Amino acid sequence: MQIAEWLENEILCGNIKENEKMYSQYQLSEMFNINPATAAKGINILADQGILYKKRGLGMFLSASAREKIQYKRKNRTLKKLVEEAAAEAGRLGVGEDELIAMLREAKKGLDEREK
Amino acid sequence: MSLTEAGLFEVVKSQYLYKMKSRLGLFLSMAGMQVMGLLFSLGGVMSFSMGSQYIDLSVRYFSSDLVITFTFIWLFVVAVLTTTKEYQNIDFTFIANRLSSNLSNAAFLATAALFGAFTAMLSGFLLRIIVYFKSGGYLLSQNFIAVPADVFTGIAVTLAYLLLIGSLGYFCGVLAQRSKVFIVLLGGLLFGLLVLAGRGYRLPAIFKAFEFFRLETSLALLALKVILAAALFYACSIVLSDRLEVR
Amino acid sequence: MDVISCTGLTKKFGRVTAVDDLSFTVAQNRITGLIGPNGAGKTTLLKIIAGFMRASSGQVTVFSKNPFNSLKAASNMVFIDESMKFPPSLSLADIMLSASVFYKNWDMELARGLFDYFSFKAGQYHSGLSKGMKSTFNVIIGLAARCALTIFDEPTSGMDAGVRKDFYRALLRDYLQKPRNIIFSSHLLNEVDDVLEDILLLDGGKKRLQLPVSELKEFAAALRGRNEVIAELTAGQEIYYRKRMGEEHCYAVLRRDAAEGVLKKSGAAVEILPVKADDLCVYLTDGKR
Repeated sequence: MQIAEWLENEILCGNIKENEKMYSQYQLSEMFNINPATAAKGINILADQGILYKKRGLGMFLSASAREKIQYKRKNRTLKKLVEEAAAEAGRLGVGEDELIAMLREAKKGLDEREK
Repeated sequence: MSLTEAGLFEVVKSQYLYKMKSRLGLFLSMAGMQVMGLLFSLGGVMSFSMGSQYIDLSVRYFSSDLVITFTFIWLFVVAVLTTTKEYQNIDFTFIANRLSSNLSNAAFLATAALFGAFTAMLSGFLLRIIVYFKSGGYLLSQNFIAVPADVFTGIAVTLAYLLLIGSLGYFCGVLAQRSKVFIVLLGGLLFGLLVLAGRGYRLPAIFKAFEFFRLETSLALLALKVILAAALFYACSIVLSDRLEVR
Repeated sequence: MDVISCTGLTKKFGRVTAVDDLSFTVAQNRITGLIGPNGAGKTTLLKIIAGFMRASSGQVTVFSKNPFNSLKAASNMVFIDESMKFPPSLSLADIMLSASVFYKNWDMELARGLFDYFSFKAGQYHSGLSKGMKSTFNVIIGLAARCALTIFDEPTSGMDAGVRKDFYRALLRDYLQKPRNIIFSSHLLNEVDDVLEDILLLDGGKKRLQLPVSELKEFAAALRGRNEVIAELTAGQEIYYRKRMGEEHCYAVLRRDAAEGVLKKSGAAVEILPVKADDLCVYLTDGKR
């Protein structure tokens, strides 16, 4: 679900803080030109995972542990899967363990430099 | 979104105004027909001349009957046109049902008849003026100065016939829309009558129906007869087109 | 309350059955996509819903009434398609003015805004517009009429890609402001699926699927693997689409839950792949022929 992923990124970047109000389905609908029902589905995915909570009559708010929950989830699912894929590709290409780790370091360093 | 309630009268009114606004061109074509009628009338509808050694006499009668006839033809054509798919689809672009479409058409044709009757009668005055200035001879003016009562009667009778012709044309159009067979039948009927009349045959008894209107001398009774007949034609049209599919 | 409800709806033209024993309902305030290949019966169905045509058999209600000859249905409905007819004597500005007389909820500000945005000129005539411009003008009428039931029958034909996008955005924005029932027919799903909430998929006048778009995206999955493995695993399952890949491999599309069940049994011998919603619509209709 792309909307859920985009919202997670917003939270991770700190654009929305804990206990702040989340974008409404209507705001998302307008931002992305999608049906509000589709936007609501994205919000509900995060609510089901406890990242958002509902205040009656006020809408969805970011729970206190939202960032940790997303980080934990992403680390254990997304990142792990990416690393596994990288390892598998390295295996197919005959790239050794050390070389793979070196490549990761290189990539990290490049990113850090760009951020400065 | 809450539902709106639209009454029949309101929808008919909107459709009627829409038609009046969008069909001004038809009134121009009417003016064109009447001018044509007027031009044909300028030569006089009847003339004779005689002469002797000392006197040369030529007499011409002028009348705007032709203008009225042309107006009749115009309204009949407009009435038939109104029933065509093209016009109907325009109706159903905005809010309409079959009843409101028929009623607004009837109202439109009645208005067209009113305009036609007025302008046709007024063209009589125009004809008088033109003839007055053009003719070099004596004007033996029977009816040259019109009595208001006569003008009113003239307009009323022309209007009555136009209403009748509009409703008849509309009914014929609806029949033709209903089935193409009617086009052939109606066409055949008209052609057959022309041939019969041309050969001097007496028309079948059923066409004496026209006498029903023609021989009426009371204006009030004529109006009543016409209104009843037009209502009958429109009612039949409404019944016939009530289940028609559109667009 | 359901806005539209059809039961056993059938429409025949002579021997041809355009809509065949169709039953479905449409709930309040949704944007529903009517999807299907050409000749699936989309236009006929919409014209019956609009009250233009009569059903041959079966029932249809719109706002709890039979729409045929119903003034209530007509006054709450606007039907936009490419063959919309306007009086040739009226300019575009006059047409909008007339529309505002008919429709009680007409929003002239919205109409003018879109009119200017798409650079129409008040003195232009409908007959003088290009095909795409006609379609654009027609959808402006459809949006500004703000009818409780707004029907768009293939409204974007002839429009440029950019204009289509603008139209979808205008549609969504106005829907957010004034939620209403919108039915949108299209033979292709890919461009409109973001805008839609529900999908009604038609094929040969029959209903193939009706479900929320989000579920359609999850509805099916594809399996890829060796011919004999796939054949064995999918025995007894409904296959929506099958394609050979070289001599020994094939690709088969089936319900996601069935595909996932199969995958558990087989282990690594087959791959499972997602199926895009618009591809699935094609598989469910054309693909079988």
